[in-house]
Amino acid sequence: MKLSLYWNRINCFTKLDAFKKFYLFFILLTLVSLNARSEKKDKFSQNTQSQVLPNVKISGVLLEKGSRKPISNANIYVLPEGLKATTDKSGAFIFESLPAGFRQWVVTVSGYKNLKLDYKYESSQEGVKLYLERKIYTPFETTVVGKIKKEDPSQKTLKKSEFLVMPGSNGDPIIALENLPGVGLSFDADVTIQGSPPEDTRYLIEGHEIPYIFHFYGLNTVALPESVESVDFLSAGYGAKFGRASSGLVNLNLQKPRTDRSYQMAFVDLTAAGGFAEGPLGQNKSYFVGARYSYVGQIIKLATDALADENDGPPSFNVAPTYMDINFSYHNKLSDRSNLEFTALASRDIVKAVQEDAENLTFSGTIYGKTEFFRLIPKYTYRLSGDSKIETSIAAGIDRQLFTPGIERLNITTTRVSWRAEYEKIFSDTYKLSAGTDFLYDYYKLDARISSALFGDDDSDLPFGLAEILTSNDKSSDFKQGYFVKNRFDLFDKKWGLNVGARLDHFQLHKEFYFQPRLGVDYKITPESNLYFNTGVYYQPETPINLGEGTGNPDLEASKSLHYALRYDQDFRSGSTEGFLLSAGLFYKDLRNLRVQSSSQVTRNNELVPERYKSNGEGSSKGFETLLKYKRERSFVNLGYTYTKSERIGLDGLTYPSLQDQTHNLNISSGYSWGKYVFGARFRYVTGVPYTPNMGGIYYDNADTYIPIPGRRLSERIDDFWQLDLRIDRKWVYEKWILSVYLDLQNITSRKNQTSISYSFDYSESQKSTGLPLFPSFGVKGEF
Amino acid sequence: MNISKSKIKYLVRLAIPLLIFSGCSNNNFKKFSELGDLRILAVVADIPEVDGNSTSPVSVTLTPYISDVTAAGRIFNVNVFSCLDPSFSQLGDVGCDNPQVEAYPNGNTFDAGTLAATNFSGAMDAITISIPNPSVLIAGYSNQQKHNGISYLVAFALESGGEELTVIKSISISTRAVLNTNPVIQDILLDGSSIGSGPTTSGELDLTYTAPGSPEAYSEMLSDGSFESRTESYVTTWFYSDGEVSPARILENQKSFYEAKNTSPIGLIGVLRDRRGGVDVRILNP
Repeated sequence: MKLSLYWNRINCFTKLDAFKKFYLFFILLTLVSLNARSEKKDKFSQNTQSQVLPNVKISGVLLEKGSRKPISNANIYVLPEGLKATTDKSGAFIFESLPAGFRQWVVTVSGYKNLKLDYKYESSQEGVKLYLERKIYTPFETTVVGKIKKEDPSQKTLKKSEFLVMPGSNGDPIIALENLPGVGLSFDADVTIQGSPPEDTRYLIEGHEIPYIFHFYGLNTVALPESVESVDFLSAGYGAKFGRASSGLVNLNLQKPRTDRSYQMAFVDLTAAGGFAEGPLGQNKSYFVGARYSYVGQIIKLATDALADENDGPPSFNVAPTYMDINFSYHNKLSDRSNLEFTALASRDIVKAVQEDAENLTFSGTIYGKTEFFRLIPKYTYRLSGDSKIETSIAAGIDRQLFTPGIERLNITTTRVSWRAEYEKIFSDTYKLSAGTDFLYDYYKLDARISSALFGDDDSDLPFGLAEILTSNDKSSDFKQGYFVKNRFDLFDKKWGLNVGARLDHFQLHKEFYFQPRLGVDYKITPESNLYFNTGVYYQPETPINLGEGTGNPDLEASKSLHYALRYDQDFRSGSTEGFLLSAGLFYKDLRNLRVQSSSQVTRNNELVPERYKSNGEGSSKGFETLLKYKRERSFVNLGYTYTKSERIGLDGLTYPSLQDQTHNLNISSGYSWGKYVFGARFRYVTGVPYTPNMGGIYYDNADTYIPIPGRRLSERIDDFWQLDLRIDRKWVYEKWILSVYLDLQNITSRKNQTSISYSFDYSESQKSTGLPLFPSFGVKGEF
Repeated sequence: MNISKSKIKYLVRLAIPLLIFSGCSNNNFKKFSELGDLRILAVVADIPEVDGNSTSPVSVTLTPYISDVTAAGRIFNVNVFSCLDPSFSQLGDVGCDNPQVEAYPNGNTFDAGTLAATNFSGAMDAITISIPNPSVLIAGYSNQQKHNGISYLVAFALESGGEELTVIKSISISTRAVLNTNPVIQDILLDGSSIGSGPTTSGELDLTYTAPGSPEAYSEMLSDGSFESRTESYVTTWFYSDGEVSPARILENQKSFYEAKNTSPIGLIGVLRDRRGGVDVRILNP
């Protein structure tokens, strides 16, 4: 029927009464609708039946809109015939014989918006690209922190998809760690674990130690977030695979480069700009490369200049901090059994400050600091059989630390080579063996003439001008050997698990072997709940500076700690991907042979020398930590809480809280994904850390400075910290690229959180030093 | 091999006012260079470094310089003691067991009213102490400590009406072949011209000094027994009773500016240090 046939009937419409009008209107509407559908059918019919068009061959690829990620195993329908093609692993599809003409293509894939496309073709075509748009571009991962069957039960893991959208973290993997229970709040560029000092945490990349994990002031991790697949955090009771850390480790796992397509990213934000690219390099090979440069120094300079103008005078500081990092990775699948990876990482931080008016009398003149390192890490994996493999990697590089406050200097260059190798074999369904080596060799050059106050206890306010000037011009080496073995037994219908391991370390500078047993027991209470108990002995070597004759005490011992950790995990989701997850546990760390400062003189080589340090400190750290997660497809809420009691026994035999004793640490974070928007919020509350108040000062003429008179040791605390952060992400998804804009508002209430206490030059007056008020961070990112 | 990162960060935190976004680095503390309350400006020892090879006692005369502008004259009780303390620089504690009590002139008192003519800022009575046989005193200590110097402390404790002030001066006992001497600050110049008394002109002027000598060269022994040649680096601190000097503490290659608030003459004091215990004081008063 043609629409025109109704026209005459409409002309009669005005002559009828209301009821009939309505009745006829309904009939007409129905007819029009039928006509429309009929016309559409006719259109297809004309093209497919009335014409003598040949069948054609259409091939192409189904991609995710924006990211161009291939969508595999998706059905593509062509209507009205109902012909179907299924995409392969690379998203490719092919219709060998389609009737030419106008057709409707329909694609329906879970998690994506339905695609209905009217598509006309009259001849065979190749390279057709179909794009599917995701329903949500930032889904929240279902990762269970401390999930069941993890290789190391003490391990907590943050995946990229989690840390990139974590409010308050600015997308940084290590800053996001602070959202996990057991990780203390740090105002510096450190990670403190379960009440331990930052020196007791080791930082690793791909299992190999690096000198620092953060750039200057903790602004960013030394690796681009895009390069990082996940970050592991190991705390009390960690297994035999790692060692040399009293408290725990943080390990960055770099991501495996994409092999399915190329990917490029560029970003710019308030403090830095950078880029990242990855993709395949022919068959079985792939790469990624990323770089970032920070111009925070220039931003600060603009601000200081503005302040100087406002105050009608020169700024008291001229500061020029900057940092950069470069990440590179190359993967080559040599065969079905073997893989070769090659990773390179370089980082540099430079800080220069000129203090022309030494109000605080700490120093005057120019401070210059440069820290840099690079690592080249080849890694080879070979699968010997279906149930055994070996993996070995070497990290070679150089670390440099140059620090010149005024006329003093500290210049350390360390050539470092570390080697890890691990053999793993699954002997049966109930027994698995892992064994390996973990070696670290350092050759270092130390050129120092610097105040010992730089190395002293953090609660000591010994003026730099008073403290002993340490001098050293040393070239030496340090070799640390580590051997580990892990046995995993699954017993009693796999309800019970037993991890029996041990580690043997030798520290060259301490001239001793250290045997460290590690034991773990787990019990599967129900399929959704597990109980874990882990314990072990841990030794941490002293640094070469602390062991140096001219800078420390060569008789210092390695610090020792005994860990005990009990944890309960419960998954309340009953097989669903949405719902609650709970992880709760207790930890206890018994600390011995801790380094403490000494003012004694001791006889060494028949002469009196400063002792500087002793190894007779003791302490403990104990607490409770829990993480409750509620997860839905579009939202999550995490509640982390840690109770910590961290103590040290002083040389006077009295017990004091440790400097990292943060009694309560509450962290609530949440996110909600709404279309192309993601909203995030984080609230933190942390008990203030202890400090020793100063009660006045004694003038020391030689250094033109005052020596503080300490009050009762660690008897006061800085104010409790609390902060609310908000974050908004917005994406604009185009066929071949995605534009993202984010606004991260840290400390939205602009609360002046106390970070420390500062004193007047003679310690007669004091006031609280506070951290940043509301700090907005704005960034733009393009992904291609 | 890592140094204490947190300590470096402490320094960097001092240096890097990221906090400028909030002005958090501002404080309302009194300025160390402004005269007013009781201050000790310097303690000058005529021999800042004593020969550690000397086999007989060595006399050292010490002159404290104070400023007590606000109190405008009062009597202080002064107690002085001395001792060898090689570990003073470790924790900042005075750890000598049996300090030598020294007799201060005028029955252990000093009348600051005698400084009325110099804006209540100037030299106290000098005291001479006797350091016992230095070679015996430092016997047994490491060659590095003996060469670089072991601290012989002299402490002055001033008290008046419940207000107390303590200052420590360290005399270095060293086996160096060439011992340290005090630097000399000869004159204070404003815009290059000598001024006999406290400045009276207004406006911002260059503030400099003249020193007839030059920084001394000396050697330091490193932990491996080798020696490093060094040259002193002077630092000058300006104190003033009115107006403003900025920067108030400068290195050799830096320059200060003085700006008066009014045309009344004020007190202006320059203290020159060689950072090895050597010090000199130059006072300009109305």
